[in-house]
Amino acid sequence: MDARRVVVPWKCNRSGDARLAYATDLADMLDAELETLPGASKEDVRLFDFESDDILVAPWQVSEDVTTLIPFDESGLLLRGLEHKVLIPLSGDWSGLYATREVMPLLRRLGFSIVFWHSTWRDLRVSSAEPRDHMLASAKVTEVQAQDIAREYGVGFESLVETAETIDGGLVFAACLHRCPLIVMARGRNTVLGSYVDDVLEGSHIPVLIMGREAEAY
Amino acid sequence: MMKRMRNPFVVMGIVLAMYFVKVSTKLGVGYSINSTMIQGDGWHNVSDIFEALMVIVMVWLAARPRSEEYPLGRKNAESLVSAAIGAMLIFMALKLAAESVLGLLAWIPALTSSIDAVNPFHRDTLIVGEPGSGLFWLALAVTGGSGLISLVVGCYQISSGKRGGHESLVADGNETLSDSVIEFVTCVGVLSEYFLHQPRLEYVFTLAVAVKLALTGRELFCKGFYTLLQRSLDSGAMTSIRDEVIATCGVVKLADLKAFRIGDVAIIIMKLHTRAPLSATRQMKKSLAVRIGRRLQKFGFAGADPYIRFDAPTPDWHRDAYAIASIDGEERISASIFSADRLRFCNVPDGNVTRASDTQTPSELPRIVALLARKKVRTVLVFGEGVESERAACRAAGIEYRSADFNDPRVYRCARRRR
Repeated sequence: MDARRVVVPWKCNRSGDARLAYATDLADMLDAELETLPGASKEDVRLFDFESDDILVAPWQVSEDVTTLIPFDESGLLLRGLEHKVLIPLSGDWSGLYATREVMPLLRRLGFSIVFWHSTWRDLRVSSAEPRDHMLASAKVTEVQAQDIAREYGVGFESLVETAETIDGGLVFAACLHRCPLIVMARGRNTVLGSYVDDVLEGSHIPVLIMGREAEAY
Repeated sequence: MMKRMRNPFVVMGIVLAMYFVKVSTKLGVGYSINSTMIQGDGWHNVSDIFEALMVIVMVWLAARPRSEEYPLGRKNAESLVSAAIGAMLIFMALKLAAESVLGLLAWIPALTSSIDAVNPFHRDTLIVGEPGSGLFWLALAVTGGSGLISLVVGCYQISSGKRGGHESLVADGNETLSDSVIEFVTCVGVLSEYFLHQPRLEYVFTLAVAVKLALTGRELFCKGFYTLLQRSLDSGAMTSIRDEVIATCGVVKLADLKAFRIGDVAIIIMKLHTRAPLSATRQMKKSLAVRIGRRLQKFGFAGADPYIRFDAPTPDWHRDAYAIASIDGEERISASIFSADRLRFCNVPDGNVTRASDTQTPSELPRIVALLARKKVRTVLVFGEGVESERAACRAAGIEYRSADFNDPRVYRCARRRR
C-alpha cells in the first residue's frame, strides 16, 4: 500500500471542510495526488474507481477493499503537535500483522514510528502482575513477527501489553495516552459478525486508518 | 526498611529525638560555661519540639481519607503548617538581621557603649577558656556537632517529605536546615573568638544567614498561603495543562479551566467542547488525567486530579450575503453591492448553508451596510475585486467584503440555484 492518491468526498459543511483539510494535509505529507469529489454521497463514492494505492478520507468505509482513513473532526495529521507515531493493535490472529505490513511504506514516507498494542485477558493460573506474563503463545508469536516486519522496513517501534477492560476502550485510551494521532487497523478475516474496527469507530475520537483487504491476502 | 524510614511519623520521631538531645546538651553546656548564646539556642530548640509535634498532628490530619464533608481531603492542613513555619522563619530572619546590624555597629568603638545600652539582643560572648582547654572543645563540639546533625536530619526530612508528598515535612525540613546554618555560624563565632579574639565576626555571617532565611521563609509562607486561598497554579503549569488538552484529538475548545493546589496534588476543573461520543470522552478523560499528571510533575506536583465536564461546541452560526444581479434574465453574482438588484442572505450554521432569502438592495451605500449589519452578516461576496469604497464601508461595520470563490460549492448552492 503506497498511497499515491488521496481521495476525499467533500460537502459544504464543517466536517466536510475539516475532512478536506485533513486530506490535503495528508496528500502534502505523502507527496500524493489529491482527488476531491465535491458533493459526493456515500453511493457516489462506492461507485468511484479506486486503485489499490488509494487512501479514501471519508466519514465511512464504503468497501472493505478500500483503505479508508476516518478523520472524525480532525483537520490535519500533526496539527495538534502530537507524536510522530501510530498505534497498531495486535492480536493472536492475522489482522494486526496484515495492517503492520500494509502500512509500512506509508509510515516510512511519513517518518512515523509504531506503538504495538496488545491486550490480554488475565490468566488466573498466573500470579504475576505483569500483563506480558499472561499473553497467549500465539499472541507472543504475532508480536515478534510484527516487530520483525518493522525492523525489515527500518521503522521504529515500541510494544505495549495491557490487560484492558475492553479492547476498543483500551485501544483508544492507549492511543490517547501515548499521544498517537492515528490508529491503524485491519478487519479480521475470520470474523463473521461485528468487528473491533466498528467498535473503535463507534467510540474513538482519534483518526483511524483501516487497511483495505486485497483478494490475494485472503 | 527504607520504606519504613520514609514514613512521616518515623521521620518526625527521629526529628523529635534530635531536638531532645540538642535541648539537653545545649542547656547543660550553656549553663555550665555561662554562655547566653548557647542557652538561647537551646531554648529555641524547645520551641522546635512544639513545632515538630504540630507537624505530626497535621500529617496525621492530612493523611485522613476523603469523606463527604471533605471531598478533596484535608491535605491543606499541611499548607497551614507551611505558612506558619514560613512566617516564623521570616520573623527569625528579621530578628537575626537586627541583632547582626546592632552587633556590627557596636564594633565601632565610639558607638559601643551607646549601642550596648539600647541593644535588646545584647549577649555575652562565649567563655571559651584558654586555647586547647576543655571548655573550648566542648563549645565547638556543641555548636558544630549540632549544626551537622541538623544538616543531615533536615535533608532527610525534605527528601522524605518530597517523596511522600508531605508539604509540612518539607517546610519543617527547611526550618531544620536553617537551624543548621545558624548553628554553623555560631560555631564560626566560637572559632573567631578563639583564633582572632573577634567574636563579632559572627555577625557578618549571621547577616547573610538572615537574608537566606528570609527568602526561604517567604517561599514557604507564599506556598502555604496560596494553597490555603486556592490560588490558581502559576502560568507555566496552566499553559502546560492547556497545551496537553488542546493536543488531544477530539477536543474542539478548552472552554473553562480552573486549577489550584491541594497538598501536592493539582485539582483541575475544566470544561471541554467536543463532538466525540460519550464512550470516547471516557477514554479522553482517563488519558488526560495521566498525561496532565505527568506534565505537572515537572512543576513539583505528585499528580493531578482533573474534574472534566464535556459539552457540545456552540454551532458557528453566521450569515453570508451575496450581491446578486439579473443579467439577460440570468442570475449572476454582481461585481459590487451597489450594482446588485438584491442581496441574498444565507444562514450558514457550521459552514453548511441551510437557508437563503432575498432582499432588495437599498439605494444608498450607508443603508446597505446598515442592512448587512442588522442581518448579522459576517461576509459579503461579490464577483471579482469589488469596489474599494464598499470594502472600506463594510470593514468599518466589521463585515468582511471579498470575492466569491468559484471553487467553493457553497457559491453555486447560494448564488446559482435559480436561473
